[in-house]
Amino acid sequence: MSNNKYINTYGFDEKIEFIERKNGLKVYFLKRDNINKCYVNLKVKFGSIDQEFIIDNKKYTLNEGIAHFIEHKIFEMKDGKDASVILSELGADSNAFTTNTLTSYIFSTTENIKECLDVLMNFVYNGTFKQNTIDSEKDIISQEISMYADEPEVEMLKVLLDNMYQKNFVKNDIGGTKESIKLINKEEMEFAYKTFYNPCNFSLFISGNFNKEELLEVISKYDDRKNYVLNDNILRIYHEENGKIINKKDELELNGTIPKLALGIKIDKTKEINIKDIISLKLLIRLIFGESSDNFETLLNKKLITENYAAYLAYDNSYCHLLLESDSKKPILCIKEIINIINNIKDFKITDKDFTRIKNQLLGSFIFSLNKIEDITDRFLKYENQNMNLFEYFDIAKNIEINDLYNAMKYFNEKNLSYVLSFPKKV
Amino acid sequence: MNKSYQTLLINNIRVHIINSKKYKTTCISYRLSTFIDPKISHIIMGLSYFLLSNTSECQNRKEINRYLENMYDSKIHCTMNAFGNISNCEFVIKTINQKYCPDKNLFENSIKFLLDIIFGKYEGKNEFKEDLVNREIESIVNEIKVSKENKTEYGLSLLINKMCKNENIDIINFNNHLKFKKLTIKEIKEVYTYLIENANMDLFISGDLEGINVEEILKNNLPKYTKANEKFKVDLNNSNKNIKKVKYYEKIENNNQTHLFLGYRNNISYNSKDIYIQNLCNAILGGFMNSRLFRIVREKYNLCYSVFSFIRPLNKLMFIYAGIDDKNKDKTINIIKKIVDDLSKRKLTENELNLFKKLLINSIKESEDSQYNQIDKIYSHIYGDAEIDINKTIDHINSVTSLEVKEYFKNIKLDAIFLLRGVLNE
Repeated sequence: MSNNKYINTYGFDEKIEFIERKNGLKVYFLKRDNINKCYVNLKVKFGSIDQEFIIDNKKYTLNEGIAHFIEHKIFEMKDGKDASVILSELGADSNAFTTNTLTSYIFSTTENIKECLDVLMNFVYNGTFKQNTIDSEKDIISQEISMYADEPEVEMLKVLLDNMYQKNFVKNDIGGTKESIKLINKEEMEFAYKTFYNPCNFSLFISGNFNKEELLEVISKYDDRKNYVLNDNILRIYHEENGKIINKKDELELNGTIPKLALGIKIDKTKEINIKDIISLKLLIRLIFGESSDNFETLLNKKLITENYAAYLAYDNSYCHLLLESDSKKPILCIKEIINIINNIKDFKITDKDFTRIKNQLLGSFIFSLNKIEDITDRFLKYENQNMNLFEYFDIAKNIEINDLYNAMKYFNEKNLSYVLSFPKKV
Repeated sequence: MNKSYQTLLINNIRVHIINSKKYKTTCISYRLSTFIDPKISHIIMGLSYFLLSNTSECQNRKEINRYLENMYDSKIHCTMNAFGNISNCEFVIKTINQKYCPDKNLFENSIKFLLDIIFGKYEGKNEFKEDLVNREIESIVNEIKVSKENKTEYGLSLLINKMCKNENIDIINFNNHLKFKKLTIKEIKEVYTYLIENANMDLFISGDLEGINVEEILKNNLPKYTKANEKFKVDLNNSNKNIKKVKYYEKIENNNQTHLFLGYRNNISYNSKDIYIQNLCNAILGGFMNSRLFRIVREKYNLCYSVFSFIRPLNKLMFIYAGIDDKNKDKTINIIKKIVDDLSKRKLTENELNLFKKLLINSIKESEDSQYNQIDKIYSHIYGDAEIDINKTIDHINSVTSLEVKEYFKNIKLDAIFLLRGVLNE
């Protein structure tokens, strides 16, 4: 039993077939016969921020980094074989990644697609964990944590989020800490797996060159595999927060080559902020702090920032914040200048010409995101994870008006601003 | 290449058109090729910044960024890459296909914009401005500094700097910032004029070009003063190095991780059939998750998260990288040496060999879907006689024997080991 339909692409020339299997698995097919490869992403709605939840009125707390740990260990199959090796033997290139809100298992190949899909579904649907290999994996993850810890931007963001959020788990590292992963054991892995690795939480997107009927045969083999699920009714606790920050500023000594700054403005998620607000905020950030903005040019001319600069919005269902990151020879002065821009935001004027330009940019960036099957697949699933249709998102974006941008200016509030400066460690 | 690829000669400029419905974007790459001259290569690298600082219609970077946003988020980038002893100064504009937007002249406008960036200053439509050039120099100097933060790139550059002294290899020279600070507009103009008047010119266009009169647009817009392309090729006769003793270098940094690099020499010529043996051997050693390094160094001994090998075929070099804990450095080096040694002593079974052939062929087929890879492939064919026919490439890979693999690992020579040591964990 399954329901077939096509995803509403809001007039856009793409055909994505959607099938919901009886066990709740959502399947999407995007066919492109003129390319060689097939790209498959099996997404699980379980990310690093899913640390606390309630089942049958009982609250559970998981160790930091467990979603990422499962992503590492799930490739090890019941018989001890490594699924990535089997996929390699079939000629496929496989990988996996964990974000704050999801875990994705992916492969791409030009042959043996149905066999590869079978392997992928098999290991994700039949996760088994052994204490001895969990322990040895801790060394590998520990190296991964060390690798990121050497990147000053990563360390700064970690401190910034910790200063901005009180409880929301977005403040924690996706991979956890060296201390938290030491605490993870087989029982906890199995518990987290049984809780979240439920087909209801799975979305399978298949794109490129493939034979749909063959793949449906494979998928149907897994329709009845649901027996391991602990409970369908999980209440995830996200600790949505208002705009109040914990700590205004921090200074660090890191191993960068020049000073850096990271500034965040926390957006109140306890109030109803809708997708229109999010898109308006994104456009506004581009107009006020983007590389085509007057402010960017002024800051650059005053040598307060460098081209190693980014301004963007990070958001999901439970958090939303603006981030501005740059190298800076005069970070303290730069922060002052940025705060000044934010405090005078009400004077910022958006001309019709500016507005047309960023709407053109928006259309272009959307088309760019549909160019490669990997991009459209991953992006579609990212939005789907937030209960949103990628194409609907763009449809809303198309209908944004100048006034929506003026309305979004209210979110730029110095009270909700926090920043971190880093200076190179003296060797 | 298939029938969708055609070449034209317009105003002495070789035009390569890859017409494909695979893409929703159009990628236009203009490449100026000359032999590398170490005295001016940093200025040619700088040109990729200076030429992008203003155009005839845009007075500065801000206006250029706005222009590109208005052109539906078009993206432009300029780089200077070395292809062996050839300097490839490349200007790329990527736009959405005009059928997806109201501007039905987007293709022509993007060609005009790109040509203005490359030739505008030569034609006197705009000029190098001192304040803008100085700002770009500052950006370059910052970039050189910040590039040290990418420890994998930084460590590799340091190793190559030491290992390949006096060889023409494209690496970041961390002392180049001093040269940039002394640059004058006069010097920049001289090198720019030299480049425009002497470089071989190739224009690559890839995308769905249906309904666009590409030839007509190019005839109307390409400059008419460029000289005929010379038939020059990359120098493949770089001599083999005689390694008497493995060199060992290290540098201590305030890192958590230690970055280990092993640099090997091989005697494989870029245009010989042995190149396929080399590609396959790299796949076996460290090109994939199923490769020896990943399976043994990471999965068996849990020594690292990241470990892989890669080749620089034009320079006859192969490298191995691992990000490790400093206390495990000797153990990791020994294990890696043993992996290479085992591969030189024991023939792979047919099954093992076929597995890696399959993986390598799959990645080659997948790369056919990439707009940019297609352009690069044609360039490598023009200047390095690289095989352009994917079926022939696959045949060559399939014909590699396990004995040839064994011989490859027997013949490669470890030249240098470099450790960028992180001691914070101690």
